[in-house]
Amino acid sequence: MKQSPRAWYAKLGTVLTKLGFTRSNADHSLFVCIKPDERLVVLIYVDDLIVTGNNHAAITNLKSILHQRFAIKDLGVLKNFLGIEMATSHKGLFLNQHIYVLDLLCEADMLDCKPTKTPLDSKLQLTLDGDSFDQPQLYQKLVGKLIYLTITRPNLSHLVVLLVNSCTHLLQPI
Amino acid sequence: MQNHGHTQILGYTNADWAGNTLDRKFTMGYCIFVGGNLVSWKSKKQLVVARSSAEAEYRAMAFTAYELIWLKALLIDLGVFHPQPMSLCCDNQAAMHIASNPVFHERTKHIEVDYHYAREQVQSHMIVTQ
Repeated sequence: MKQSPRAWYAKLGTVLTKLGFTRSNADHSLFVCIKPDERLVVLIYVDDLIVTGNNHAAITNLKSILHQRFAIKDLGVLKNFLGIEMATSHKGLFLNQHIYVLDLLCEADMLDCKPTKTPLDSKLQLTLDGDSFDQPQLYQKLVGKLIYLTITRPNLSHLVVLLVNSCTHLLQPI
Repeated sequence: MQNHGHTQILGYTNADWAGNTLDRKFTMGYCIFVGGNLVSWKSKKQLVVARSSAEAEYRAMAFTAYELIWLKALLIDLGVFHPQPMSLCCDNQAAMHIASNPVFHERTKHIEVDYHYAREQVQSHMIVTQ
């Protein structure tokens, strides 16, 4: 049903608001509950929720309350969210998209290619000369996947912009 | 993400003036550090043609200012608040002067209103240029 995402969000939002959470104005899928001794943060992506905070008992309490209202499945410590893998260590948190990259390489049939240290030649100038690529859809799909990869790979973001620009030229026959 | 003992917000911005050889539109980029951790970055080809490198950098500054203000609002919502202004580093002296000095100039008269957002934020001491 078309309205169901909105209805779901409204329901989840109401439940969280009743528990003392406030919706962040900076990001509407973020709910925060700040009390003098505890701080709880809930991030929503459709029906996936990340719960974090500085009070372990409060997190467990929140999970049990949510369990009463909804059929939730506790997946334990956060390891994977939207294709991003999280590794926690004593140094901090490390985010990577290892599996996503492997899938992408597999799809592009580039699993046996050599890696390079720098992703882009700084003097590179792209021109419109040469034959056009016969599978523009494949190119667009791969570029779309690369855009998602830039959320953990800042060094790729400029390169991807160049690829996206070529994508717009593919759409306009010259 | 590592704990470096502070939550200072620091933004770096840059733009390549007329970098695209086909339509001469410029590409800007920024990266923002919170407490020494890189948290936000972007590279984006802009929709407008900049007439000078200072203008390109100034527009890039405005773009970064949006993100900085948003990030600050997000951190305040998360309960992390620090009153000192955020830093915005830019390698173009002219763009920094345009941002800090509200003088009307022949070569900046065409820059649209919303791009003066960076100037407004500098004047309200929300952001300090470096």
